[in-house]
Amino acid sequence: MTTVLDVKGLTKRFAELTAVDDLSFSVPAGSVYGFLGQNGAGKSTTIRMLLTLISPTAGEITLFGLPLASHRFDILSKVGAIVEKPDLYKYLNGVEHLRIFSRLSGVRPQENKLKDLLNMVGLGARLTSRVGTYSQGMRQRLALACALVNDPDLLILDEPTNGLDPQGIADMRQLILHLSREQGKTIIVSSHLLSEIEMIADQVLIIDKGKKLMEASMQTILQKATALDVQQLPSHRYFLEAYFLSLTGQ
Amino acid sequence: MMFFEVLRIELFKIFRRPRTFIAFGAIALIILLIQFALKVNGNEFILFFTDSQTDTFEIPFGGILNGYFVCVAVLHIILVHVPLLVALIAGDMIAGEANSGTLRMLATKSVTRTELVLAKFAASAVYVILLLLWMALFALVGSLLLFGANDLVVFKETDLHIISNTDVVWRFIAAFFFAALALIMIAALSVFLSVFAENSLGPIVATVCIVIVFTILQQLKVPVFEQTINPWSFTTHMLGWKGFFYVEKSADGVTIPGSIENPIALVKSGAILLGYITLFISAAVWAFRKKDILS
Repeated sequence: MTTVLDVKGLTKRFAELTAVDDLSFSVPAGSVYGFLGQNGAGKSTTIRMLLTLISPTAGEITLFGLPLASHRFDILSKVGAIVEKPDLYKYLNGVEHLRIFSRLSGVRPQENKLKDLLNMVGLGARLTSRVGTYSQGMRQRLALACALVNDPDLLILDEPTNGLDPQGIADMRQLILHLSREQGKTIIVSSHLLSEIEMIADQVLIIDKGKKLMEASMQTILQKATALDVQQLPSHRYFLEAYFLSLTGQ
Repeated sequence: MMFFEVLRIELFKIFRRPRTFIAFGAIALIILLIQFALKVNGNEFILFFTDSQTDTFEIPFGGILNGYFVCVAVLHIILVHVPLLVALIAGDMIAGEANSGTLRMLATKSVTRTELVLAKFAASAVYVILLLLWMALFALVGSLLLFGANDLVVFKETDLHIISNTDVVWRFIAAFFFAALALIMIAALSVFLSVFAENSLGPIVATVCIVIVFTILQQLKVPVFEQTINPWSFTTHMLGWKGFFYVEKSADGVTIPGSIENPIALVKSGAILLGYITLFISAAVWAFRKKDILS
């Protein structure tokens, strides 16, 4: 199986704090890759390094077979991302956002495609409304449309369900599955909603205090989780949640 | 080239923001108020400058109070305050985006950070130029329509400079270009400060504070600052535009047409302002390339 992303020995230190510590993992092409960890585990820092927002203290990142450090421009033209909760430009409307981000990705915007994209994320009825009038869920969906505007091969979504209501979370899940299964995109999703990751991920990476705890297929994790003494974890409805808590010692 | 694409986007964003038009509205309003005041009480305003000479000469108020004179008066009064309006936009360029979370969206697209900072600075410079064109429209064209044209009388301390109305227009054009250079320098300072902030209030307030501090040092006129800081302070050189209205006189005291009293000082001021622009923007690019975007 080909890999889209290879990370080796990735480390980030902020003064005394080591946010990411010698992290290595690989993301197979076409998979939905769940990235799990508690708050402060180093998920967002790792994702920011993958997107060149933060420079690593040490380690190598290879995307599409090319080192990120020396091929940033080519690589980022094939990547789309949502990093945490963007507020976007409140004085612009949805279509204007897509025009801006498609031009920034080196793509000439075609109005029909932009409207199709907004329809796909469920914003077809609010094309020309100012973002200032959008709910948080609508902003998150617009951010996803902005990430998709260059038809990326790799989509990196950092906590994409933050601030969404239950319906919004379900819609986002369906969108991710659609993009993976129907369009063959590789998707990295970080989330603290373990049940959501359990429903969509093929492969899972669990980190804690910046270190890798485990990387395995969802199938392997479910097998391990069923072997746990579930009597000790009666309140956990999901296998992944039970396994995650046993790994992180909670 | 990606730079021009980003510049186009930045200009689009600037002119879609309601805040941008506050500056244009404020300038129009202030100029109209000054023009109204001079229309009603113009003679008193001229007396303020000519008080010591009223016993010796008969002041031709009607001749002095013309469109060119009013325009120079307007520039004297408002150019000192325009840096605040420039900082409102330029200080927001990077810090405002960091605050709203859009900076990380921009920085994950296939555009270099150098292009991003340069395009944001260039967009601020375009905004400054448009603001000055707007000011020129109201201050010069508006004043000429309201007060008519005549020879321009400029007061410099105890001296009078009289410039023929056929020798004036190029001086205004040059003065506006010089003022644009000075305000672009303020934009460069704001963009530089904006790199380090997570919300736009910090760089806007910091820019205004820096301008106020250096203006006070300049106005104190004490030797310790006059010999050290003031010759290199940008606030000293920002006022260089006034130099286009000070003329050279012949031995019998007649104005030499097309002359400038101290052209070397003007060139020096322009060069120092350009130096500051280069310094601030180079530093902004350097810092932004190294910056970890954590906002």
